[in-house]
Amino acid sequence: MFDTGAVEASLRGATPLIFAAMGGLVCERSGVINIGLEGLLLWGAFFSAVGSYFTGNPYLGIATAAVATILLSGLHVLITQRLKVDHVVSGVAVNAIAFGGTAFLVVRLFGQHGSTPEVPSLSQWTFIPVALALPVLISLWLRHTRSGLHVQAVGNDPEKSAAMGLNPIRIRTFAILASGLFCGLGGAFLTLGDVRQFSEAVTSGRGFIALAALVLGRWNPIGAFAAALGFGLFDALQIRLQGINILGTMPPSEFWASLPYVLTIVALITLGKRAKPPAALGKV
Amino acid sequence: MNWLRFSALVAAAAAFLGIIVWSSGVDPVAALRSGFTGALGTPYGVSDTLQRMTPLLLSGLGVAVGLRAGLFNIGVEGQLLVGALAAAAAAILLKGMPGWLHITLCLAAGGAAGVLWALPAGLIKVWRGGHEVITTIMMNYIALNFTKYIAANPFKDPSAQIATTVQIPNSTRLPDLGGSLHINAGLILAVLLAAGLAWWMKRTVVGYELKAVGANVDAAVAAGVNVPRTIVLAMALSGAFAGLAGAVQVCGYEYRFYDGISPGYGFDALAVALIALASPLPIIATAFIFGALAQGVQSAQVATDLPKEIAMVAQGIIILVAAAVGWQRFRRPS
Repeated sequence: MFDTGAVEASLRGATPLIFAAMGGLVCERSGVINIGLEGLLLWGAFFSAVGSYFTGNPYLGIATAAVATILLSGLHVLITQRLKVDHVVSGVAVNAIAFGGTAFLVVRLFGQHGSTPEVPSLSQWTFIPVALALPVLISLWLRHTRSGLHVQAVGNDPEKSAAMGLNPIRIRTFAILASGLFCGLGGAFLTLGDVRQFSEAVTSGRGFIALAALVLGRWNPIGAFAAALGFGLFDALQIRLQGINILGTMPPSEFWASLPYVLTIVALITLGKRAKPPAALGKV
Repeated sequence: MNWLRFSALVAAAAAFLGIIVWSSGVDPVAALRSGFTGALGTPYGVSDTLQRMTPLLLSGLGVAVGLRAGLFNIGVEGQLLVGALAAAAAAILLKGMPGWLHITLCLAAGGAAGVLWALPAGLIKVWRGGHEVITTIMMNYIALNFTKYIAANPFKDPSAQIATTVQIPNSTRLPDLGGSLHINAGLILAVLLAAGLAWWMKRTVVGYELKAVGANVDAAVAAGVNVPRTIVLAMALSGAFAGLAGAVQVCGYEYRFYDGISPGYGFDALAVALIALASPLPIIATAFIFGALAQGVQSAQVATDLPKEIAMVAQGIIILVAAAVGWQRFRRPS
């Protein structure tokens, strides 16, 4: 069951989760909940296809995705930081705009419903090393740089940080835009590094799984990375697990498909209060 | 709310939508006219709008109960699915009882299944501190797989090609109250429940406590409210509405459960409840508007070349406007 093919498939499954989870992590460590990861990932996947298709250069596809997701996460900045609206409400709005916007723009720009034609793409190995390095870099950045410590400070106590001369809104704006950028890269991987075209179902909940990985990893970059790898591994093994006999019965495919979600809930229960979120998470 | 700002935003949103429609080569006025006629201009259209409105109203009430207690029940979709399946199972399996009892049991089974699916989120939040958004999203995926398996295997209609149960008996179907609008008893039930919920939140101690927890959890604690119990209760009630939405869909309109029975009612319900600022009576109106929007876009799509995806764009913009203007005073307990 474990061969190089399985390792490769796991990494491929984990890569978009790592990107999105790191985006969520930077954002949430600054105190801002981001359930818009799913929408941002979809937005990035779509605009990477747009950039790559119309320029013929997949690297410009990545750049297009990054710009587009940074802009969309600007909406989260506007609603949560300027209008001071609840973060989850804003995330719902970001997701709705991304679902509606991509569905409509696919029809407008490509003249077909639900998916684009094949677009100029890249090897998955363009993205995977970046995804593997990113958690380490973010971990070092959070602990050893001034800006990383500032992000943590406003995530724990914005009032005290402001009293010490930091600008919580500016720091959070930066963190939210960074989450957009990372989701853009994750979305670009899905389109350009994996399936070679955009389709409406390309993310299929991966942004939400990344959110779960973030919580399971206890808001720690390496922990979230490990959780994302776990989800990726499970994703890769699912097809191989079907047909396995357990205690005389053969669990159906739906059982294996549900198992990661069940295990996430079990992990939430067992981690319990040790899974400590940033103290000011979600406070507007 | 600042009405001037609100009107300006709505006008801007409408103009933006008009431009999008126009840019896709469709005359916005013609699209609007055919959409309006299709959704509201004929008895047939109104009847379809009302049908589309029913699950949105019930699941919107579910989202609202949670929101008022400061909880985000993103799991309404999953609770609706298990509710629908439970109602179909009760309709098919139970036998030998008067029709009124049988149908009551079907609806109760749907509500109970919704409660069952929502409770883990409430309990995990209260006892283990896990965020309900994560739990309910996970429960959605489990519900999707679980109901699909049941409809494809033990309950599968052997003559069908797809994962569906057999049709439920006539005695378990919610009656059509006749007239040219074909108003279903399920819609009447939903409207009565909206009124009941509004009354309950305004006039009872427990309803008041629920709102107190959502408004300011520290103040609620200081006032002696049992916050954990209130959170679990709100989550259970939220799931009950969602499960009932599924049950009404089966007993009132679809007459069977099948994989894909919900095109995402539970997610649309988030919008329906958010725009109504989680107040039960306004949700009747927003559910109607969303029902009309869906029906209108379908009619306009047939009459003009309007892409159906425009409905999703419109929904996104509506949520955005609601989020931007309506939710500034809303605070959640942590």
